[in-house]
Amino acid sequence: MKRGDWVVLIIATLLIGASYAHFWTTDTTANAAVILTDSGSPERLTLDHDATRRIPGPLGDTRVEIRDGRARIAESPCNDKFCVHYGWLDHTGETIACLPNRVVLQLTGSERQYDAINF
Amino acid sequence: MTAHPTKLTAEVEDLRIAWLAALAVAIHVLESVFPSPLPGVKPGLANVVVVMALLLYGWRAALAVAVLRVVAGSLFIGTFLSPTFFLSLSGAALALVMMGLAWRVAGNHLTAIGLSVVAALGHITGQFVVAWLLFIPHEAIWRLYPILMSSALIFGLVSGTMAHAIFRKIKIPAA
Repeated sequence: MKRGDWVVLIIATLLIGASYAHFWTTDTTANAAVILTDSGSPERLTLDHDATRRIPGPLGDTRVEIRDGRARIAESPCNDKFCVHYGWLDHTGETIACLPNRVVLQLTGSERQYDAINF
Repeated sequence: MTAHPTKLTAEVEDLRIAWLAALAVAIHVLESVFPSPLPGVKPGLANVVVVMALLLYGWRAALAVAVLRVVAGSLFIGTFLSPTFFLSLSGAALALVMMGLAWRVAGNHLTAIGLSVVAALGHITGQFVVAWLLFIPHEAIWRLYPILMSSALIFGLVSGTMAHAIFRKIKIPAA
């Protein structure tokens, strides 16, 4: 190994360290929940206040609950209840979609609105 | 009188590049068979050949080998013009540019090890930029970036060590 190789290694290590620091420490705590349905316009709820909403869908009411800065689907008339079992969401971009009852619950951060969510 | 068709003759340099590219394609195809613990974590051993091409015959030869590796390799695997292909191409492109710059700036102070690390990190970075711009326009993919950069550093060191060992063993044919 020559001197330049060591320089490359040091720069690489610093760069990787910086990338961990940058990409792994950004605050992704959400502050609002958006509820989307196929009928009405999107409803936006702040996570600052605890709340419960009944969202009507083709099968019945989906109950969205907000507590302690987190959001979940507490109750749903659908068969599989994947949406209920998903549990609590508290990070920006997290999404629960209940397809049978056509309800999507999605968290957003301060200014951020994503146009695509991929898992 | 009939016109003589232009005769294409393969120069020595063409043959060298063809040999190196064939080697790189073979490694690339073999490597694609092995499962990966995480998408993007790959040894990238084909880059050994590209680094060798750069050290022995210069940047243009390395460029030719890398492009042939991506295009021919994808034809073999069946990913030609698929998202994988564009990721591969963008990775190879940035790797080559960065390696070329490093070689130009500090060629005398670098061995295959440093060049391989530069190439590996460039490869991942190029892929991420294109993946983010074209396929997954979501900030969350950048959370994978540090992990893949770490794996690139390790595999870059491994393939660089291999290239370095090979380079010391072979007699350098006159370019």
